[in-house]
Amino acid sequence: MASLPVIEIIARVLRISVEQARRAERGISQEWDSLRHIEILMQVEEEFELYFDESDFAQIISADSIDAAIVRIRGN
Amino acid sequence: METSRGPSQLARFGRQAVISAPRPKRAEVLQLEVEDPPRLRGTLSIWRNHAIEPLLPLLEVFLKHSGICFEMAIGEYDDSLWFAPAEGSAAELIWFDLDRLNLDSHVISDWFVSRIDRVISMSSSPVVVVPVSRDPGLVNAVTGQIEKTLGAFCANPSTTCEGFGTPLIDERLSGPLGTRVSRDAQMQLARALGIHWLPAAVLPHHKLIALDLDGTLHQGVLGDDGINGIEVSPAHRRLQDFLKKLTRDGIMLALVSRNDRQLVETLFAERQPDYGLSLSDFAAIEVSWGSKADAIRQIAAFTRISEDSVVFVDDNAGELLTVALSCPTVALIHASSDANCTLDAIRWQSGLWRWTSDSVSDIRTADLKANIERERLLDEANNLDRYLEELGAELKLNFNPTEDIQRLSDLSLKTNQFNLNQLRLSVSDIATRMQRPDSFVISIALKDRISDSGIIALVSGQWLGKLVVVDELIISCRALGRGLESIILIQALRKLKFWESVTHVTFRFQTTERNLPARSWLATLVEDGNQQLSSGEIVVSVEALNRIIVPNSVATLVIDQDKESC
Repeated sequence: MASLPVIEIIARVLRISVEQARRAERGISQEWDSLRHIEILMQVEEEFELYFDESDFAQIISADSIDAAIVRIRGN
Repeated sequence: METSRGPSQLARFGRQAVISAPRPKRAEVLQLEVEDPPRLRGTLSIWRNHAIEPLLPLLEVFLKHSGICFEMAIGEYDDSLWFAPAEGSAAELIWFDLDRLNLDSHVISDWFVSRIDRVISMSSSPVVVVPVSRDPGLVNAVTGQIEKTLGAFCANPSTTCEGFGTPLIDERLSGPLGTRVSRDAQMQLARALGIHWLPAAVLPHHKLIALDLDGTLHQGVLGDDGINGIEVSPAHRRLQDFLKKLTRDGIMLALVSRNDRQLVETLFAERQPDYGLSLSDFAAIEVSWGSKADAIRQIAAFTRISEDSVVFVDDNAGELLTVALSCPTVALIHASSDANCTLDAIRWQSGLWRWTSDSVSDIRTADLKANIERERLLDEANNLDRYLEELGAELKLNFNPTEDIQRLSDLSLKTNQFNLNQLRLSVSDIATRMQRPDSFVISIALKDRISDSGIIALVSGQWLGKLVVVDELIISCRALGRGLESIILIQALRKLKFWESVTHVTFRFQTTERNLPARSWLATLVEDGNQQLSSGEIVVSVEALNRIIVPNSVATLVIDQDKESC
């Protein structure tokens, strides 16, 4: 289950409800286009004070995958 | 009616902390809702070779906060910068990554500058250039060269980011984002573009900051705490030093305080040197128990600027709102108990930043002080002739003076009250007029026994046989009030080489909210001086112009008439 701050960022950027954000996926949700994808990742970086790897930009597709990347980066 | 300005101002004060934070947060900026009515609507044409899209949502917020609503016309990615001017753009923005060029490093700078030269020659709008590179030396070189190139404004993103400890380049973003400008640099550059760089190119500047004293320039209340009880914290000292620096860049300061004047004078005399500002730094001082709105009106009248050129800083939101209702065009800043925040709010107040420091700032402050002496002379003189004789005014006319192009353009861009046709002539506009064989640009400098005002007027026009078309006439507000407006005009026209063959002069003018002084003066030239002039043009015979009496006491000196094209 993804963390609420991540879901809230997705909801805010995609302008959808928190419930919709929880289920949203890049490539499936219409709102999640490439520009908003970067916006989500930049806001997550700012909020969690971390930097994603370049490969994360392509691999992240949902709130859950953002959470997984955060855990991995912090674990490192 | 400004009934809605109170809530709108409260919303603005609410935004102030987010907008002016040293490192604004992306999420917080994007959540700001700016509903202020724009002062300028138009199109921003963007020429680029890397993505600007990630900045645009931020840029739009900052521009709206500055009173600008731009429709963005974004060009395709183009490393060759093949510019094609767009009709009616309010400004051209060149957003360019120099490292994408497949050229030897030593030729990149020259190539890029030559492309910018081409843009300037093809566009009649202000050109703002933002060159990006991982090599700050290259950006410095390009910036230095473009600054010397007339007509373009070149930002230095490397310096901007360095100032905030932010890396400019983040190579990770190149693939997914289409630009290597880092996340934090995007914020700093969007803010600089939206609050400094673009507004300074397209909007009139603020000219004066009116400052409250207690709780703004120091901590504490002078009347209660006494001269030695008020505290000038290190942050307050930084704020005062920053304000003092602004005076050197051409911004005037004024003091507006509900206090006892004697006590305030003693404070400034006795708390030196820990008080960074001295009373002589203020172009106007209004210390009384009266209304601050009245004080600001008096300051605007004394300094001969319009109220919308004033920024008022006070820690009391009630005072600010009262001023908002009485003087709706004055910009307001809510001073914080943390003077660092006040400093940041002033730093990020649109209209105060400018591309070049104002070379006439010292002259302006001296002129204002000289006005007191001039007004005394006028009171004592029985009539205008006697007054001008006492004043000993000397006009210095210079025809097509290429060395004064920047000053003349500044005059055109910054003058609002006596600006007849509001053409807002850029450096390249003026240069073009100077080169055309049938056109002329005359600069007029003024000095009198009390002060040397420097270049205070511009007359631009075209010769069409027996007709002269004056399509721009601008007189700095510093020179108004001396009864010289008509004299300046007729002396300039009479020195044109072809003047003897002219029978009529057409004056082109626009009606704007702020150029009533110019239009009122123009109305005095036509036979029915009371008629209301709408925008367009009026024709005045040379016979009528010759009725303007130039007293012998007004000396006129002509420099370099040989450069006169016509």
